[in-house]
Amino acid sequence: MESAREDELVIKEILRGSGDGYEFLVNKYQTKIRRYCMNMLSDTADAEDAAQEALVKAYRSLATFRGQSSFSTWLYRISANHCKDVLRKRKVKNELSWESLSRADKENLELLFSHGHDTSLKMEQRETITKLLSILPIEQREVFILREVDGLDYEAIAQILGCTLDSVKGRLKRAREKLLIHAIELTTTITTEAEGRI
Amino acid sequence: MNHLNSDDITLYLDNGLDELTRAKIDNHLHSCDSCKEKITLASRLKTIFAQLPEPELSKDFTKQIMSTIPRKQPFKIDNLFSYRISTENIFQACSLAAAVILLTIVPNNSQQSSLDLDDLLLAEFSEEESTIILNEKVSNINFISLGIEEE
Repeated sequence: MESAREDELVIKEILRGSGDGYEFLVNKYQTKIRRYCMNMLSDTADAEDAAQEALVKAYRSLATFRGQSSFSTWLYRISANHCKDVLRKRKVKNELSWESLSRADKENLELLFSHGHDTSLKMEQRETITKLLSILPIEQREVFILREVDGLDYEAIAQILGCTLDSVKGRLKRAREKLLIHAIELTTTITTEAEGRI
Repeated sequence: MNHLNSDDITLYLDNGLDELTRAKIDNHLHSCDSCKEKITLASRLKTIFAQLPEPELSKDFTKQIMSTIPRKQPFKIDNLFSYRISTENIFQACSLAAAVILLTIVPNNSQQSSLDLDDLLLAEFSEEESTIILNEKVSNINFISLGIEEE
């Protein structure tokens, strides 16, 4: 059965009184939502709380779900807005500067950029990548994550974030440029330093 | 051919180019180390983000969520934005107007009630958007209430 149609049927069942049906939806979407929150918030505990709160919020609002977009898109929208609220309430600055990344982080990144990776990323490398996402402004970060990590198309991203396709493309372009500039800078700097030592 | 710009790189990696343009870029890459390096790095960045491992979070994640939600039909409410005032439900409209006005003028000690309403109706929106929508709603309901008094 098509995924979106299956979701609609489950939602109808839940609205008729089957609370257990929501467990199916939580199991189906928790990975995506947890990953999104983790990449947006860069903090495991905050991400876990945010993902749970977004899923509970979605349940409470299920009666207002009109099916104008897929449940997945609707759930992402709730999560995206919840993450933005969490980020807005934080007292620390949400956007790191490239300079604030540690030497160890930069060496991790240089290794990844210079050689790629054949096997799956280790957790410490994951943490570094999450920190790298934090150098992007929130508006660019959310688009970049939805496109490059979650693999969503531009139309879905525009629906989730409530913006135009041109805005999605513009933000994505700026995010990619910023990361690429730092990747080039990093590989060049470290290569030059290594040559200097020789 | 000129050096690749960020649009060329994006379209090249997303397979969004026609064959001719792609062939031109491939030719350019054979002779331009700088652009070749850019494409290689951009491609690695793309792969790294696409293959990020899942975050390790608690194993009873689903259980925790299911323990906080009632196993019964959620409270169903018609879409407030399209709520129509008629002779049959005029009392409901007045009650709703009073409730919304109270929620907006009673200070912070009623925060829990306010959040319940947000959760129920405005979960799709960020707090900033919710405030704008709620303010618009209060204006509309006030207008409707005035209309009722005039009659």
